[in-house]
Amino acid sequence: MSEMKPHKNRDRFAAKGESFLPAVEVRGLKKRLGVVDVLQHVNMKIEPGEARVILGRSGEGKSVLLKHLCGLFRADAGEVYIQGVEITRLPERELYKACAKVGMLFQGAALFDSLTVEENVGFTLFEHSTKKRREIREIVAHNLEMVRLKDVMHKMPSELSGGMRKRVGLARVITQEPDIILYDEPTTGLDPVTGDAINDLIVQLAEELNVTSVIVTHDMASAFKIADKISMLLTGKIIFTGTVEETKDTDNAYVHQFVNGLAHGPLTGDAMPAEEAAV
Amino acid sequence: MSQDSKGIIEQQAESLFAGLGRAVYDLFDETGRVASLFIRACIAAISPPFRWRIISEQMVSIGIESLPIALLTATFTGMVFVLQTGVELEKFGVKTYSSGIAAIGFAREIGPVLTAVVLAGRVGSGITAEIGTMKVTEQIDALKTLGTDPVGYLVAPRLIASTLMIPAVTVLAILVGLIGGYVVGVTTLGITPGLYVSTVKAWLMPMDYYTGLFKTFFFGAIIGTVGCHCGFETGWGAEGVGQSTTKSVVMASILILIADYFLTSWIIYLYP
Repeated sequence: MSEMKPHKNRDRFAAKGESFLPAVEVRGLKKRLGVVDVLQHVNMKIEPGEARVILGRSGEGKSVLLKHLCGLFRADAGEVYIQGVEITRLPERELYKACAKVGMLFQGAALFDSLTVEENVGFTLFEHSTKKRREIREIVAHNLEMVRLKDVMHKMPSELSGGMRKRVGLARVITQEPDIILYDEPTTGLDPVTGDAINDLIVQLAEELNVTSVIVTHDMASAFKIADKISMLLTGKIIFTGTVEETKDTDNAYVHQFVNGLAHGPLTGDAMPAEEAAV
Repeated sequence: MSQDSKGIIEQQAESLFAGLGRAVYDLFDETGRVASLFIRACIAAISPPFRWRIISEQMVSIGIESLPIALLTATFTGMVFVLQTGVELEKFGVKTYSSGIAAIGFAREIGPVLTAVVLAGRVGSGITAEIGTMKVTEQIDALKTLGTDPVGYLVAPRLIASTLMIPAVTVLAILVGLIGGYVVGVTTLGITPGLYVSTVKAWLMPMDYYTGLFKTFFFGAIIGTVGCHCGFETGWGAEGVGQSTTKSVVMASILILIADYFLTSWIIYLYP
């Protein structure tokens, strides 16, 4: 494992004199949903400006882990620190405040059906600022331009394609001016070309906005393009963390099987158990 | 009795008590969650930001758009009420009284309760389906990540709108029900218009109207709160939305009928 290896945004943060307090730190996180222990003992540290991809098979709890990082789920045990603030035991109102700097792009974009694109993208400003509508419209137009969208301000979400919805969702997150952006399977359900365009946007936003990115995905092409580091979640634990090169060259049989998309291997019960691979 | 059959009876008794216990626990648990949501929504309703635009949109959706079904139901119920009572009272030669009886019944009970139950079907299910769909498409999670309390944004405006608009719709429904009764009384039962109106005037006191209306504020609050509660409790997928919508209508209708009994008892106690 190489938790503290430098990443491409680290120098920029150092130049700005920003703190190296981890953007996200998870210690001994446990979560049980129904009768299943989804997260069993997750430990993870993500530096400011880092792009961390979390891999794992469907149902391994990647999205559940992501939802703990923005306060949507409360941990049964363990701690989650966002920029040094422990959020798992905060009362609801303080939790909203602590998570205000954490934006999330949902799998289906989660745009508000009854609002126009303009109202969706400017939602935080309409709700939490005293800015006038004209000012908000300018910010919305700028953010839509950042995600390469034009002439959609007055459209309803139902009039947009899947890729456009993701971009509008991303523009909404940008309006929030987050320090950390969480992406829940950003390329799932999109054609390869649109998916790659979303990958480009994630990289571009990380560079332009100096944000920390946490991306949950199954898409290896996407992971290799976006990630500074890659972690793999298996049986409720992080079993591997490494750079893209380390991930590609790893001896870990589980990661090797997943990364190469092999039908046979330890993940499908053909070889050694998880504990051995983790060691 | 053999040892085996004794064991089976014990098991059945145990599962019966366990089932009963679970049902009672679930009932109190759900009541507590509805009450908690209502209190949080009341606090949000009197705390800034005040979302006037959403409140007015909800008032249109809950009030204005519910008028056709509420008025149609009230008209025909008013007509059939006068017809039924008139036919029976005619046997005793006092069919004129049907106008007074119908007016009191409609103002005190049938108008408010019938309108509330009809609107529990239209408004309550609509609120549940909307919030339930928002839940399954992660829009409620999105609200939270954007720093907005879903109770303040979704529940408070709907609670305010339903508490204010359901009484407003009921006022019109009672009026239309009385007109429907008048039409049947005059055209079918042959009561003269003057006699019909003077009987209604003599029998119907303003207090009958006020007590009926007073109850509708509670019915409105029930419809709004239960609709939102069931929306938030929606399970996964389209099936989950369907189930919570049905549950919303059933729960709101039952609560309206129970509340009606207790409110009426209280009113009768205070104003015998």
